[in-house]
Amino acid sequence: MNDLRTIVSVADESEEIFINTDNDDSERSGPTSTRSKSTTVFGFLAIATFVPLVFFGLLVAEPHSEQQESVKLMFIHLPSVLVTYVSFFCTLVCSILYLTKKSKFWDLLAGASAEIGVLFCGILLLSGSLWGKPTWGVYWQWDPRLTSTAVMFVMYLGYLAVRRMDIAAEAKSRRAAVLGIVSFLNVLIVHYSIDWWRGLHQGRTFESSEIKIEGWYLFSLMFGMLFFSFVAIWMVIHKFRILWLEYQLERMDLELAINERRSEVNDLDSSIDADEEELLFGGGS
Amino acid sequence: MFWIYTIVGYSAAIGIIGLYSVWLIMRGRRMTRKVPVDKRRFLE
Amino acid sequence: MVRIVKEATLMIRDALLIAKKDVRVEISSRVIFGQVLPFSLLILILFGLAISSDLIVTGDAKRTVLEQVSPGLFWLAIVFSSLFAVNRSFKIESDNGNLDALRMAGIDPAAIFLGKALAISLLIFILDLFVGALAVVIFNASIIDFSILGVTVFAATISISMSGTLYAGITAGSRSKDTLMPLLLLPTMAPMLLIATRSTEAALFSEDQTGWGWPMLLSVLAFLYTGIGMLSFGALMEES
Repeated sequence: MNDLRTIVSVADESEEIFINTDNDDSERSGPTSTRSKSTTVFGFLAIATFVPLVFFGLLVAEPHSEQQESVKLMFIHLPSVLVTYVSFFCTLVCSILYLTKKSKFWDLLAGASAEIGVLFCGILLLSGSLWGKPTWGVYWQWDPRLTSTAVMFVMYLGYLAVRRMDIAAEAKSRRAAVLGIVSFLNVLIVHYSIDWWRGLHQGRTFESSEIKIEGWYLFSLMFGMLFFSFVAIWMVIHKFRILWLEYQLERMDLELAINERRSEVNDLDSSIDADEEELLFGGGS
Repeated sequence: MFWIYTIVGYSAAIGIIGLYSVWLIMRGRRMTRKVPVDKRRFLE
Repeated sequence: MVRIVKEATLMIRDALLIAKKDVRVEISSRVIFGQVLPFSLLILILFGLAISSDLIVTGDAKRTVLEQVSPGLFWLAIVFSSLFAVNRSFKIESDNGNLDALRMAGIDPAAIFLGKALAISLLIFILDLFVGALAVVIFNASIIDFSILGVTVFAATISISMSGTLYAGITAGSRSKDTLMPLLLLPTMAPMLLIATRSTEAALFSEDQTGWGWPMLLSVLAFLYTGIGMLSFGALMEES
C-alpha cells in the first residue's frame, strides 16, 4: 500500500518537469515557444551522445565477419526497440492514471508518448528491414518478432486515430485511455501467441550466437541507447506541450461558442420583449 | 556492398528524427503564438 | 459469496435480454442475412477467382494451391464480413440514443457488452455455417476432424465478436467509425486469424499432428478478449 502511495506521489511530482517555468521572456510576455530548461538539457545530451555513437559505432568498431557493415544497424535497431516499448508502456501507465485521477495531464502525456512510440516503431521496422536484406537476403520475413511488431505499429496508429475522433473532448480522452490499456494488452497477446511459431528471431539479440556484443560494440550500443532515450524524452516534452496548447485553444473556442450562443439567446429574448410590447401597446402611442 | 544498407539506414533514421524534431519545434512556436499569454504556462 | 452469485446472475440475465433484443432487431430488419451474408459468399468466390486454381501444391499432397489456402480464405471472408455485422450492432443503438437509456436503467456496462457481443456471436456463427458450407463445396475440402473444427469456429467467433464489440464501443458516435473500427479490430484479430487458420488446417488436412494445440490456444484467446471487453466497458460507459 505504501508502494502505491509512493508511485502516486512520484507521478504527481513528475508533472514538475513539464512545467515551463524558465524562459527568456519576462513574466509579462510569457514563453514564445515550447522550449525550456528541460528541453535544452535533453537536447544537449542527445547531441552529446550522438557524436560518440557515430564515431565509435561507425568508424572505430570493426565490421562483422559475415554481416560486415550492416551489423552496425543494430545501434539504431536495438535502441529503437527500447524506446518503442518504453513509450507504449508509458502510454499504458498514463492511461491508467488518467482513468483514476481524471487529470488532463495524464491524457496528454499518454498521447505524446504514443506518437513518439509510433515514430520509433517505424524506425525500428525500417532499420530491421534494412538489416535483414543483406543478412537474410530478403527485406521481410514472416517471423514472430517482425510480424507482431508490424501489427503493434498499426495498432498504435489506430490509437492515434482515435485520439483525433470527432466526439466530445472528455469522452474522447476516456475512450483513448481505455484503448491505451487495451492496446498494450493486445500487444502482449499478439507477441505470445505469434511466438508459437518458430522463426528467425531467436533469443533477445539478433542471432546472439554469432554476434558477441562486447568491446567497442557494447560501448557504441550504450551510446545508441542513450542517444535514442534522450531524443525520445526531448520529443515527448515538446509534443506534450503542443498538445496542451491545442487543448487550451480548444477550450477557448468552446467558451467563445458558448458565449456567442448566450448572447444570441439574450438578443432573441430582448427582441421578443420588443415585439410583445409592440403587440400589446402598439397602435396608439 | 553491405555498407550501403548501413548508410541508408542511418540516414533514414537520423532524417526521420531530425525532420520530426524540426516539425515539433515549428509547431510549438506556432501554437504558443496562437494562445493568449496568460494561458501559456503548461500546468493544470 | 452469495452476493457475487446473485450479481452475476443478474448481469447474465440483463445480458441475455439485450442479446435477445439485438437478435430480434436483426430478424425484423434482416440486414445481416440480406446483405452481409451475400457479401461474404461473394468474397469467397472472388478469392477463388483471384487465386488461380491451376497451381498445384508441391509435395505429396495432391491439392491445388487454392485448396491449400482455403482455410485462410474462409477466415478472411468471415473477419471482413464481421466488420459490417459489428458496426451494425452499434448503429442500431446510436440511431436512437439507446446506450444512454440502457445505462440509466441501471444495467451493468459489462452486461450491455456481453449482451451485444453474444448477439453478434450468434449472427457470425450462422454466417460461419453458410460460408463454411460454400467453402467446403467450392474449395473441395474434406473435413477430417469435426470436433477440432467445431471448437475452432466457436472460439474464433467469440474472439471476433468480443473484440469487435469493444472497438465498436470505443468508436461509437464518431463520424469516422466505419473506417476507424476496422483499423482497430483487424490488427487485434491478427493472432486469431493466424491460429484459427492453423487450427482449421489441422482439422482439414491433418498433416501436422499438433492437433488440439491450436484450438486450445484459440479458446484461451476467446476468454481473454471476453474478459478485456467486459472490464473495459465499465470504464467506457462511466458517467456521461
